[in-house]
Amino acid sequence: MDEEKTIANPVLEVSDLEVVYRTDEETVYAVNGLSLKVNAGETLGLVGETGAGKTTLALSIMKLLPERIGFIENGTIILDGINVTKASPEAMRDLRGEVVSMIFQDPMTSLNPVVTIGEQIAEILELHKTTLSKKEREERVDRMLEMIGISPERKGEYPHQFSGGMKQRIVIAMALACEPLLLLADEPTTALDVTIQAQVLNIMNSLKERFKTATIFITHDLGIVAQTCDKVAVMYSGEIVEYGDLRHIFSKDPFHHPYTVGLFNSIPNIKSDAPRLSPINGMMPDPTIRFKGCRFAERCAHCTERCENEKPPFVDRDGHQVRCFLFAEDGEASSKTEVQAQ
Amino acid sequence: MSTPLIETKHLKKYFDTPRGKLHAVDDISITIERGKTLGIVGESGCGKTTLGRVLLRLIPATSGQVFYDGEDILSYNRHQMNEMRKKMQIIFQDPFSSLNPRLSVTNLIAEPMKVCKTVRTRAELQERVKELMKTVGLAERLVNAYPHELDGGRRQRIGVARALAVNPEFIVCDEPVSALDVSIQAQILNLLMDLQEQMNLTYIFITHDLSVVKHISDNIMVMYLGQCVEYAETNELFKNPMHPYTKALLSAIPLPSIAPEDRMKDIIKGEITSPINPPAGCRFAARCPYASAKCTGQDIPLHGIADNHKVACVLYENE
Amino acid sequence: MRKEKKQVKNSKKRSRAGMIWYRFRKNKLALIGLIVLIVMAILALIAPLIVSYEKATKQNASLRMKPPSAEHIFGTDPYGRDVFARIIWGARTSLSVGIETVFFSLLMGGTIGAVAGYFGGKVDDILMRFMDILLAIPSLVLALSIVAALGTSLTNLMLALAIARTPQFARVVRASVMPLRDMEYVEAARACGTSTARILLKHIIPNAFGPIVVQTTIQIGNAILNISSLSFVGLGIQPPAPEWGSMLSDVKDYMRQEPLQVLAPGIAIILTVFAFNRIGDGLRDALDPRLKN
Repeated sequence: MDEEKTIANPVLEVSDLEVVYRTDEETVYAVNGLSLKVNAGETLGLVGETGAGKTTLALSIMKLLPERIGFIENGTIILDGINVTKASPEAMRDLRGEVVSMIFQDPMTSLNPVVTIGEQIAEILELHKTTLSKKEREERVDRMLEMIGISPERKGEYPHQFSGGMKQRIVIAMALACEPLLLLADEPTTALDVTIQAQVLNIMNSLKERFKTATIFITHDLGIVAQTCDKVAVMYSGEIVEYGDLRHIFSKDPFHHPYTVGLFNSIPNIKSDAPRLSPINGMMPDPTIRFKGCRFAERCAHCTERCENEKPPFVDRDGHQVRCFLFAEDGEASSKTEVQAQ
Repeated sequence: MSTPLIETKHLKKYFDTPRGKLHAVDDISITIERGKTLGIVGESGCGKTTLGRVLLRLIPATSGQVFYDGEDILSYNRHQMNEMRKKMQIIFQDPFSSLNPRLSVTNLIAEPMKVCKTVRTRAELQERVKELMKTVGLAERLVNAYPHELDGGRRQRIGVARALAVNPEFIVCDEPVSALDVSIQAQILNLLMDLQEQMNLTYIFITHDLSVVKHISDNIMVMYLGQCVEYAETNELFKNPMHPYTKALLSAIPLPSIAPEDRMKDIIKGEITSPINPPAGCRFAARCPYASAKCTGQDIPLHGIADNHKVACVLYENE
Repeated sequence: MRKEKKQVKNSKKRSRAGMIWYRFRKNKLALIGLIVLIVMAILALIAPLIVSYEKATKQNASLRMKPPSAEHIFGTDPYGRDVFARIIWGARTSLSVGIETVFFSLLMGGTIGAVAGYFGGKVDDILMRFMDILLAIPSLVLALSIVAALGTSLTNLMLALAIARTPQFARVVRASVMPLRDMEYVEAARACGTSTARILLKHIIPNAFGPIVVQTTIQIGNAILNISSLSFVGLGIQPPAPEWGSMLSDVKDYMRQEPLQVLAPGIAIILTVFAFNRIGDGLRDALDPRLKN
């Protein structure tokens, strides 16, 4: 037991999480029984399309779900030994910024337009690192700016004086200023141009290595996952359908969830010469309806009656988990695995 | 060779801003043959969207000419232009803002036909709407649905149906899949390609994503700050990218592969410079790793390298 | 991502109008306002059936300042007229004048605002600077001077009030038209060669409806208040026609002795204005769900 702790010390442990958005009109089941673990220093890529529940998961961890609408129905979130689901608002305020930080998609709205960027970074330090003197704080701000490739001389400038890519870098600096254990990055480069995205990803990678921050990188782009992550969780309609090391997910062997296969086939790839892409037919199921079986069933080519009525279990091969009957020990469908390989 | 369907000559569009002239489109000359697709690639602020709008005369050009089937449409009067609009259509990026939220699916698709008066009777109109919905893969039960009830993919299908409603020959697709999820993106791309085959449509496909245009384009033009920096046949461009900016764009794409050779490398430094009153010379010079004194001071013209490959860079001038 | 979710949420099950009503209904004060207004409107409409106009206007010295009784529920005023009758007939005047003036200014202000917002540039500058000038003069003072110049009559009063609130409408309509002008669906319409008039009527105005409806409702309340104020100082509805403002003016000297005389028209004004404001607020929330969540 103790030995295990020293090897893999989870910063974050989510179990059986269920999150719903409840409005007068309807209930949206955003996250449906999700469990995952993130170890110290590890980067987990959370891949999925719109409505997969990626952002909801991140907001649940931060306990920032929209008030009176978003509710954690079930499950626990243990962050650095603290149960977030039961934590008081005061305890959460201490955690945010210090233990866990979040970067949002749009850098334009994450910065206060009337406060200089230096002050914004310093403010976080002031809140959480109360032992630092003013001088030490300023030094730290300068160091952070240098690390993200912005000259410390510019710390007296306001957000509008920086470009989009720079602003996102400043947001990253703010998020990492207190050296949190866990960073939640929600599509941090989606709003940026490709060349700028490459720069930001590069800086994120080097900062992560330097601070040994565990990261959950939320994205819809498998390319970004390949370039930045250690572990990958593929999400579909509020559930994880596949989880494993980067090499597992990108391996060519047929042990994959049909959704993952579909996702890979539908992304345009400059390295491929295929004249046509192969999309996944149909679309995401209605999140207001609860499902008995596999949520991907109605779009899946390998769907059987069982898939519609029963939740498939995680099949674990060597740490690579796939939630599909195709690979279940008692599965009738194991002969179909080859079909799926393409 | 037959007359190209679309041809522009030294097309320019400058916007007046308080700080000077913004060179959105600066001296663009392109030709597109009937039934072909030209991909226009560039990052935000490169003028690709403006170029599409100027071509359709949605905004007036500053100077230059646009020929449609050999005729200069910039000289057309209002009436002639309205006739012309039936032949050229546009599909927009954002499937949420490009559809009037107050109109039902039927009315959305019928609207262009009503405006252009291409159908005579109500029955004919209904018939045509049904036919179009079938063409783009929208279920018939959606006729009375409103845009807010539909997802992005279906909305974009309405956008496609609207563009097709008046039987155009030429369609400007302005980032039609950028706002969509990958699995839906592929559906729409395939739909556009099917339609092109069936109706012999000519496309301009505007995007920031090189990997998307690879599948759909015959030729690709790479734009940087209003200018064309490289123009080539699609396979040629991917096999043999020449302009440092094209190379930078290609290497900046994060590849969905964990092979060591596919790791991101050679990340280009700096950010796009101001398009307002740009100095003469290569506009990419400030970020270019190969920049030399030759790059500034005078404009760099496009050079033919091979049959269907042109590049505006001093590195290739002596070849 | 959440935006999209919301789009999906509002869909299905209920129609758009049904959805708006559903959200409106949840705002209790707005609902009360609506009920008050409906009652008031019905009373105004069937006024002739309840009590004769004569009772509201005919002076009778023997009936001066009678306390409430079965015959005169609210008593009588200093000229011996039935206060209840005057309140009900007054509702007729107030509501119709209020609604008519506001619709007139909506028409003028709306056209100016839509044109200014859609075309922008010089057109916008000229029209809106003119509106700014009107806006710089307090609306009541403006109305007062128009009435003073043209003479006191109901038509002049309505005209004055309508002109005085035209700039408010122009501003609201312009502000809601401007962002729509750049929407892609408007550009799509232009790409088909749609005429400007059709673009404005079919694609822009219907989508700017929400703020305009809200503004209209609230302004009707304001207009009623203004009419009463003008009547109170003797420049509005002319006696003997019953009007709440002039009723207040008639009894102001007797406030100490007969507070009920003052209360009746006062409460009528407050209730009506309150009703319109609450409905306006409720509509704003119902039409724009973003504000609420």
